[in-house]
Amino acid sequence: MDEQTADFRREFKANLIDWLQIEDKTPDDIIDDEPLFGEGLGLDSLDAVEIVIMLQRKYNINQREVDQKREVFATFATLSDFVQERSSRQ
Amino acid sequence: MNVCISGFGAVSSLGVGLEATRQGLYAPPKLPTLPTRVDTSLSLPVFEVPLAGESGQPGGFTNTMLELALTEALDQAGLTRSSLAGRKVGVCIGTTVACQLNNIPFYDDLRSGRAASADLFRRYVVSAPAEWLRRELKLNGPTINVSNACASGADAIGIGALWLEQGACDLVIAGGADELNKVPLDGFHALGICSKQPCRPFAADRDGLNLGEGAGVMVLERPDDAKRRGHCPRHTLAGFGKAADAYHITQPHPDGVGLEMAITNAFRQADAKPTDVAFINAHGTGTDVNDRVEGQTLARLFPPNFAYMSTKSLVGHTLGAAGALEAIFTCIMLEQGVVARNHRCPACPPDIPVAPLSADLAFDGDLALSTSLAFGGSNTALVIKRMS
Amino acid sequence: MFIGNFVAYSDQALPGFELLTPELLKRTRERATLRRADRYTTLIVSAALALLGDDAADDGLALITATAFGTHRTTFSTLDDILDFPEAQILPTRFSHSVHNAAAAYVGAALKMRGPAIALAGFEQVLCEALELAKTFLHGGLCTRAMVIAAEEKALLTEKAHELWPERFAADMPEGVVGFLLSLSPQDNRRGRLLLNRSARVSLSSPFTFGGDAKLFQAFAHADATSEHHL
Repeated sequence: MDEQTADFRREFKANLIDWLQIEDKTPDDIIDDEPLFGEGLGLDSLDAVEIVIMLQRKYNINQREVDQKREVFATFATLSDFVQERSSRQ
Repeated sequence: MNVCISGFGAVSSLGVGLEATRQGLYAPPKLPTLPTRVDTSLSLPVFEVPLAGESGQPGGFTNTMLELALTEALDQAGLTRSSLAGRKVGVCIGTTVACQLNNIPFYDDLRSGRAASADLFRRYVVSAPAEWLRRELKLNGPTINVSNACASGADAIGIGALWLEQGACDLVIAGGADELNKVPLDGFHALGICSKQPCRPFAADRDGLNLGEGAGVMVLERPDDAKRRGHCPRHTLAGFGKAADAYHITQPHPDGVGLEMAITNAFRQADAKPTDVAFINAHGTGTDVNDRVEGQTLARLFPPNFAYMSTKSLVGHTLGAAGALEAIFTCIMLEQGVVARNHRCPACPPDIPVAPLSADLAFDGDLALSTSLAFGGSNTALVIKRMS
Repeated sequence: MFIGNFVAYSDQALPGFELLTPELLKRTRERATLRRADRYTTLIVSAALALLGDDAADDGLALITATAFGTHRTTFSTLDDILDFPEAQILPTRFSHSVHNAAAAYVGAALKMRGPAIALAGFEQVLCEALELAKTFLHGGLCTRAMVIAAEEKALLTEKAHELWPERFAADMPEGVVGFLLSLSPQDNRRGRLLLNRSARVSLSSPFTFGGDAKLFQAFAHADATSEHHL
């Protein structure tokens, strides 16, 4: 992983904790390649919708684009990389 | 439980009054349209009540609809407003919007430190529907606004019936009212559960609900009291069951545990069993999760090929009014001996074992069930009986 | 009807009330899963946990919440969203928590409660009505024990209420919660008998649940099983 990606992931983890009010978690609790939803972080469908809206607000990624790429929600890493790639394009 | 439904009145997108409601239940469905009273950029069709009015004003359109439904219900029950003054009459009204101050310009002034309208604030305080009706009609009995999200209207009717059984009052005005409002419209859209098409409860391709608005009011009495004044009610409320899922803030328990408990409790009160009901007027919002959980739970509890449908394909989701309006629709269908079809669900969906009614169905029975599932896992079941 | 337990917390030093501290709310958040819950919900859950103590909830336990302003901090957060962002970018969590019964849902999840839960809202006698409703539920066999919890949170609207209607709302309204655990069984009696009489009741001087009748709450707080309370 290059330094830029590592930095982005660290920042994105902090953002998720803030957006989803999971204050009892630290960025280290979010494991890059583990599933984002279900066990682990305990995120659910309401969090998924919340993330989609925050991506719109903070990264200008529109909902349709996310809807077409549901697979990016598989793990933290897939989501973070998608957002990083999208924001570097702007 | 044996409480008379001495009269009822309804306002919904089907129209104002029971005649329009009765016709609308069996007519080709009116389709939802873009809202005219709500300032919105979202292209979400809704079921509007065909009346002029202004949205978002405390004590405004919601109470206008409530008063229309009340007037009809009292008339049906053979009662006048003046005859109720000073009597032990309970008022129990379910609502969501009317108990929240969500007037956007008012709040914008408040948060910006500008002078916010004191008049609007005062109207908000004095317009909570049940308390407003108690004052308007000079009643002297228990007075409650139920704010139990989408089950509020059904809960209000159940509570009213309990009051009568426990002797808390001698007559009850119970029901629900809610108007279309920008905040729930934007909120339900944010939750991703609004359809951009006419909603399709229980259908394989269902993709969300349409909001609606309206008011439904019932006048409830003890059988002896109705008889004494020479009134012959046509329905009774035979059971009220209520149970919680203890599961999730916006989604029902996947196994419908709370719903099952609510139905079981309502049947116990009604001394009835699943084979006794002619039909079920289901909550059926048109959202993926609600309809799956409800459809599967009903299929588990009721005999094969039981008849069920959702009137949300006709009037949308009227939130705090829904449980009350649906109880009234249930009364009308019991009276007609014909249960209206569930529109826009042509075939059995893959995730629900039994399809809802795709054609109107004549029946012989005299018992029906109406279910409500709300945010926060709050489930309510009402058993309604037609008097022979 | 017997009072099995009574709790009262307020941010102001009121007779009969324990002080509502950040530590108390923090403890509640540690004991229950309250990730997205707002302050109003945390107040209600704090009271529910205290009322039940080490007891477990069963299917015979009902909950009735009562409030005037309810979750208006969250309602206003939703309005902030609507004012500050495009209409398609409203956060769903805020909206879903702005319904009055969200608090009941959290109590249900925290205590694994399946019994009936009802949220009441009103400006006139909402706490008294909630107590009356508990009596109706108990006598009607809907439950064997009932929790009645009334709460008001301090936020913009309660802070401005006096300015907007000075004759009706006190300046500097307290924040807080009161809770009752009620039962018909004498075995559950810890704080005495509660006798409700609607026709003898005078309206509490304040529509606000707290501070309306300090003497009353003080009596509950100091009661034992031999006490008799008339309301």
